[in-house]
Formats: sequence, structure tokens, C-alpha cells
Amino acid sequence: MSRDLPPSLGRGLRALVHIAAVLMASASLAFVCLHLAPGDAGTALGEGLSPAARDALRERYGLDQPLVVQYLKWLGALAQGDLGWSTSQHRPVLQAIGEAFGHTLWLVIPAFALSLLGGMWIGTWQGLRAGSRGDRLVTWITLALHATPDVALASGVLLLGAGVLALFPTGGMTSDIHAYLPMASRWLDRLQHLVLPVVTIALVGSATLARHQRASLRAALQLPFMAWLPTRGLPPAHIRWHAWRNALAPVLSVAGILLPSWLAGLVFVEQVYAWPGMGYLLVQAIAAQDMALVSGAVLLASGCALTIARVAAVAHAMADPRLAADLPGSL
Amino acid sequence: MRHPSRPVRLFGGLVVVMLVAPWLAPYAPEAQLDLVAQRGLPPSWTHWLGTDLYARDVLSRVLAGTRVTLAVALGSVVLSMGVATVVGTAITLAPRPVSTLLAGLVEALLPVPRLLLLLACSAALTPLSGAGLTILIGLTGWVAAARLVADETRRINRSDFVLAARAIGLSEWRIMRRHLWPHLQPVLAAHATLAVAAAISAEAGLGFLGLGIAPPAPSWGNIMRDGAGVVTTQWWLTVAPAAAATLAMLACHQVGEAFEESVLMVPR
Repeated sequence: MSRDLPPSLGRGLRALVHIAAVLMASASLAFVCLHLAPGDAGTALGEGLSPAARDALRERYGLDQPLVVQYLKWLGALAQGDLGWSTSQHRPVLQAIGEAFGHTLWLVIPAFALSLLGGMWIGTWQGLRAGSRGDRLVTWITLALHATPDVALASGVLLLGAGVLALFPTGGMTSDIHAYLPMASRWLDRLQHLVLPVVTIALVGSATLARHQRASLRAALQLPFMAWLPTRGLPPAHIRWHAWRNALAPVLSVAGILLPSWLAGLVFVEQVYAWPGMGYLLVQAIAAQDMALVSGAVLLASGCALTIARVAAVAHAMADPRLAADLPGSL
Repeated sequence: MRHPSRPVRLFGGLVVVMLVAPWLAPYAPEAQLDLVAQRGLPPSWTHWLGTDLYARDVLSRVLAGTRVTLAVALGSVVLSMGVATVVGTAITLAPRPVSTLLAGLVEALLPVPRLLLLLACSAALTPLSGAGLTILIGLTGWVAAARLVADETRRINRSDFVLAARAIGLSEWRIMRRHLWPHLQPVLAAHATLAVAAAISAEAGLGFLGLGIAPPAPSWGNIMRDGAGVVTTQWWLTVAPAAAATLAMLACHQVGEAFEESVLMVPR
């Protein structure tokens, strides 16, 4: 394929084919997994439903047909951009996912910006004075944050911010009285609900990035040219800039892994704070055995992961010109 | 070289707790003591970490949970490292169609978020037994390790001593067993300790969502689920298992770093 095309285009096409293949594989896996589970959307509604109503429901959504037929129907609809009908939310899957994804972005964008800023700043500060008492203290803190399970950290921040300090609400996106508030107070209400989950995610993110920034900067400071730069009479700030620039690439690639994993799986933070984003939606959909919704969510989440991994590879290459020459075609 | 003594001792301590937990625990972990008088009590001298909504002693449950959670974590890592070793070696050494297929499989699975796989599968398989959860966490955790093993075996396979072994006519199986796998051990050990931390986190997360081991059994994740809705009022239900999990994961990270430092010469 790449013989008659310009090499960059060939690489891009191959990457697209690869992404499509992985997406299909993971969404199909989720589809099959949920169908193999005992019970379906009919049984998930509980004991109160009459058998006749249950059968009517199954017939209406085609759940009584064999698995292969259901899968092929789902594939056919997917080819037309239709992710199906959510049996638990009573609306198109695309609509439910779109709304939840928007809510997740509310968390992810500020948290990612904070993590990048905080993590790189802290890591640089540490890398420049590696081995000092301050560095060792911060290293311990970042390690502890890194080693805390997400659920535990989210619960801890919730306990501190909403329990002990009682400054912020315990969960949800808005208060019950949100709709009756004047415009300015509505924004304040939103912000208040945003603080704790964003802080939780940013803590994890900046700890992770700081650890990589520190290690990478330390390694860069030991490169041979760092001994040579002072002999040219360059000012220390300029030399530090050169070291920092050399240390950038690995940090960016870690950031490129963090971002998609957040878009796909803020499951625990959203669960702890009852934030109706992608992770929350996914857990609810699994509990209701809503096949179409789960498959759609998995499809979108892996799609995000793959696309951003691709973008991160390009950013990585831009940060390190040596890599631009042989950017791999597959991921 | 720094001897990995302190973190190893810490981790060893946890393993000892895991083994002797039934004798350390002051109460039976699943016993409901007094549903009327002893529900949701805060920490006191009789119940050091309080009691939960079903009047069970939280300290006993956390201690017993050490055994459950660490057994799941260690078991799943043994499983995933085993799969990773086989697949990784096959990617390097197996004949052509098998190796390309496996390499393609690893490339395809690598970017799929593990959490999504875990959630989808555990939802399909609930309620899980301890063994079921171990297998599930193990089978979703081998991909990155397989890639690592493949890279390492490729490197070792090119070295002179392997060439020499081939030259004197040793069988591929013997080369694999006596010359490749022993050299994999340090890299795999460093990776495995971090994988144990990830498995502890996975168990805690799945338990918290109610998708882990079936409820009355105490695991750190299950105890956190008991405290899920009442974090601000009955904080001891969350803090105790969360602290235990964090401590265990910290120990794993420390052991992993000590390994990297002493065996792989990664500077700190």
C-alpha cells in the first residue's frame, strides 16, 4: 500500500486500519462477554416483571434471537454510525454517551492542565536538586500518591474536603436547587462540585508526571554535552533550558498515556463523587446488562485511547527530532 | 548496590500477616456481633477500627482481607507472568506464523485499557470466587509483560553465549530453559512486583464497585464497598482498608525500585 503513496500517507492509512481493527476487536469482545453472562436486560429489571412483559421486552429489542444474528445486526447498524438503543436509559446510545462524555471532559480538561503544570514544575524543581532533603521528601509524597489505589485516594480527598473541612459538596455535578439559582451562583455551584474530583485526578496525574520529569531531567543533566555547555560560557538558566528540553520527550509520552486512560476510565473517581460521566455510565450500564451501551462505551473509550496514543507518538517525535525520522507506522 | 532489605522486610511482614491473620484477628471476620447495640461503632478499645453496618469488627475483617487480597494479587501475578513468559518467548523463538500472530495480538491488546476489560468481564462473571477473580486479573495483566519478555529474549537471543550454545548443538528447548529464562528473571521480577501493586489496586477497585469476590468474604475492596456511601460519617470503614492497600502497594513499589536499582543498575 505504501509503495505508490507518499510514505507519510501510507503510514497514516496503516495506522487507521490498525486503529479500526483494534476497535472492532475490543467492542466485539465486550459484546460477546456480556451476552455470555447469565441473564439479559429482561432479567436485570428484577422479579416484579411478569413473564409476558419480559418476553415482550425481549422480542422488542431482538434479545430472543441467536447471538450471531444479534451481533451481525449490531455490526450492520454500527457501519451506519448507529450504536444502538440503550435499554436502560430509553434513548439512543450515542446520545447517552455524548452527554456522559461531555461530563467527563468537565473533569479531565482542568485536571490534565493542572497535572501537566504541577507535575512538570515539581519534577523540574526536584530534578535540579536531586538528592537534597526537599527532593527526598517530595519523592516520598509522589510515591505514596502513586501507590494509593484510585478508590482510596478519591475517598480520602472526599473525606478531607467534604467531611473534615466541610467546604465542598460530597458528590454530583450540581446541587438540587441548581435550576433555581441566579446565573452567577449557578457557576459557583458547578465550580464547587468540580473541585474535589479534579483535585483527586490532578494529584494522581501530577505525582506520576513529576516522577517521570524528575528521572528524565536527572538523566539529561548527566549527558556529556551538559559538561560542555558551561565551557562555552552559557548562563546557568540557558543550560537548564537545554537539559529540560532534552528531558521533555519521555514526559510527553507518559502524559499521552495518562490522558486517554482518564477519558476511558475515571471509573472510580466518578463513582465516588457520583459524577455522571463515562465511567459512571459504564458501571450503571453493566449493572443493567445494557449490551448496546456497554459496547458503545468500550468502543468510544478504546477509540480515544488509540487516537491519543497516536497523537502522543507524533508529539513525542516533535519533542525529539531524532525520532521524527522513523516514526513507527503501527502504534 | 543497595540491598533491598527494608522494603523486603515490609513486604515479608505483610505476607506473614496474610498467613497468621486468623489467629491475629480478635473476632471472626464474618461474625455479626450484636446487630442492635454494635452497629457502625467508631473506633474504641473493644473494636480498634470500629464496626461496620452489619456489626462486624473492622480490624478483624481488614486482617482477614489481607489474606484474601494478597492471595488474589500474588496468584494473578504468577499467572500473568507465566503467560507472559510463554507468549513473549514464543514471539521471539516460535516459527513464523505463530510468532507473527502472537506479536500482532500483543500489539492489538496493548492499548486497550485494562480496566475496561476487567469491568466488562467481571460483570459477565459475577459473582466471582477468589480463584475466579485471580484468573480474571491474571489474564488481563500479561500483555505489557509479554512485550517486555519478547524484547528481552530477542536481546539475549542475539548474545554470544546463546550463539555458542547453538553452535555446540544444544536443543532449542534446553537453550530456552538454561540460557534464556534465567536471564529474564531480574527484569521479570522488577516488573512483577509492580504488577502485584496493580493487582491489589484492581482487586480494591472491583470490590468497591461490587464486582469482586462475593460479599460476606472480607477483602480490602469489599470492606471499602461497605463504607462507600458513608465516607464522611463512618470514615473508619474506608480509611482502614485503604491504608492497608496503600501500605501494601508502597511496599511493592519499594521492592520493585530496589530490584531495578540493584539488578538493572537504574540510578535513583
